[in-house]
Amino acid sequence: MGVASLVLGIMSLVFILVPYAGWLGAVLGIVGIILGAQARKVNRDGVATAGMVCSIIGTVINLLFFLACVMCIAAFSVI
Amino acid sequence: MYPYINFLGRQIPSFGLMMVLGILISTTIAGVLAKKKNLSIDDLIIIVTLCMSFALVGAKLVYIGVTFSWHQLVHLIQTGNSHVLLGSGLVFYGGLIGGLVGLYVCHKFFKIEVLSFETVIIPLVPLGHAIGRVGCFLAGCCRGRIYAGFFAVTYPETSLSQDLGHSHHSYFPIQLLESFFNVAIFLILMVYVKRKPKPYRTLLLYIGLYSVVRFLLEFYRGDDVRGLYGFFSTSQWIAIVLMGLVLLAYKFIKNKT
Repeated sequence: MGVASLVLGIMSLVFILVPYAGWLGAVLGIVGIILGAQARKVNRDGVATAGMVCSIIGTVINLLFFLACVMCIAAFSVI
Repeated sequence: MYPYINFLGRQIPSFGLMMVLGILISTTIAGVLAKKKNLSIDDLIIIVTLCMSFALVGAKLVYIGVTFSWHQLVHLIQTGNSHVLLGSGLVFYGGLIGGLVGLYVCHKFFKIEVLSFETVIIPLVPLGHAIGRVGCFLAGCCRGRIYAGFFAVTYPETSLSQDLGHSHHSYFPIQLLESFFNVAIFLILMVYVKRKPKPYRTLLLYIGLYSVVRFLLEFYRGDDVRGLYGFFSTSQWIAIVLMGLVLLAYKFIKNKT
């Protein structure tokens, strides 16, 4: 689980650079956070902690750019 | 105001920034409180992550439900513009309900004793919400009614309010007022949890207080596009239902104990 968390965390960080894929990066990061936290409950090793940290950073940055309320106007302009 | 903030040459949506900041600050304080009570930080992280995920989904679904008609949804999908739904607004009550679903999932599937985290997490929800509302103010969404009195605010052309056609008006700063009341609820709850209340009391108090505040503030909201049914808006009707459920739930748990 720790390795899975680390992989997902790194993928989440990579998706920061992919335009319009913030939501996917956030989803990967969220799954990585949960796997990392679960792995840490069983065995507090560095891999699980690293995975959780990477996932948290990836999720936060992806959500930061994805959660833009300003696209509200886009909805009304296409209706 | 400032829908985007320029940071190192990159445009960061201010709404996203404040929302993420709210989550981070609230979670950090909750972590400190959890550590004092010898609760598992890993469990706290799972609870916050799952609840926020369900909250975002809930907030989005309720927003789509109250803002778009079925015909408009079908039109968006048929014209290949369904991505617009992902980027559009959120409704807090949908988030609250989603968060409660998240708590159930934590308890049922991850076997976490969520009730032991009640006095650690619930008081921090209004604090995170208060910070998030500042993001609404900066983006120009969830605006107040047209108003020209004390503390009236005008939005620049780049903000949401101007884009919606209400140009050159000044508005009531409802987002900041709600932020203020959320901070007040946070302080009330922080004092209340020091009395070591019985299970569910903190949650019920929060929902009750927020429902009253939201019901009253909705009279000063200017975004009727989110639904008006009879005399009240969607959020006011939800507030009335939640208040009723809170009173019923309180009576039920009081009789049980």
